[in-house]
Amino acid sequence: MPFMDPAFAIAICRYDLSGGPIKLTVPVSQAYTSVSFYTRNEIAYYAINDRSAGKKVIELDLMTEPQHEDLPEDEEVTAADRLIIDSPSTTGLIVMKALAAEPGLMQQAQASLAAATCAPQTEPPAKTEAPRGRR
Amino acid sequence: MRLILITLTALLLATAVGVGATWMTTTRGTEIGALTIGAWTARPRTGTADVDPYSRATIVRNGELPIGTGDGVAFTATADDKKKALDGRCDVVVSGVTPPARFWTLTLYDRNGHLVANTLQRYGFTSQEIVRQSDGTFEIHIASRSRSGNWLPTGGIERYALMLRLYDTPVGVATRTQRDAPMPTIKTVGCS
Repeated sequence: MPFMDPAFAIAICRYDLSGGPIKLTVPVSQAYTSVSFYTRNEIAYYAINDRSAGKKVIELDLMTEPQHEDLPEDEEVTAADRLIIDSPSTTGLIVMKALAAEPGLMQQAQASLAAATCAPQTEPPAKTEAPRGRR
Repeated sequence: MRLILITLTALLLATAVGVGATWMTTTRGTEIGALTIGAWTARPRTGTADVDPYSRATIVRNGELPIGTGDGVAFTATADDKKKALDGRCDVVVSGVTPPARFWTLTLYDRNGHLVANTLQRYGFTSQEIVRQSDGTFEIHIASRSRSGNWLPTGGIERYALMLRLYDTPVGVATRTQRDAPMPTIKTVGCS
């Protein structure tokens, strides 16, 4: 892929939401971590970084708009710390990036991304809540 | 009969102009939604869902992934401040300050967007590894032969592009001028 930033470790997750929503967890690396979402046609429709996520782990649920509308409207679902992203297309790309601020930190950055998961939700969503307010 | 011929000619002409103009904009880049500061150009809107159709075509054609707006902004330069094309056989100095951002990276690419091989395996600098002067400004020397301080090797290629990426930055769609986003200067100081 042309014009990639060599200072970053990168992990890519191709998704297909036709089987249901996807849960994404990305541990935050030392320097800077971001997650960007692209449609199948490589339109960047959403991006978030570790600071705006405000936690040690970036956690979010990715679903299509109809799937989002089908969610039960109880309080837990609308809780502010559960981040739901609407994908405009059923398939697409998630690009996770961790900065190696110096070349020596590249292995560390790669290791933190290796711990990232991107998988279909197995149990009903919104039961496991991330700890609040940790910085 | 004559009317049909004239109509056909007009249609063909219009098609040629239309396709030609689209080809030009997707291959050479567009000025739609472009933010130009000094020698640097960014297209903050390409990182959002309301990317213009021309930029979108360029992205698909080149197969690159644009940087998302919540992530950062990428500025590209292919010429110096005096509009002289960046030449890997010359000494070029990038100096000054960068707009506010948590991190930035400066990377050197060939005109196809690939990194330029070199023995140091140095393809750019991050804001953290750069050596700065006491007033916080920096100077990066881009040349084929080694230079003291922040040296970025060109491998002696004829034409290259620089990309300055700002991560976690207020610079974006609303940015207009140098005052909001002070970009470093690019000067060609000599050619061997």
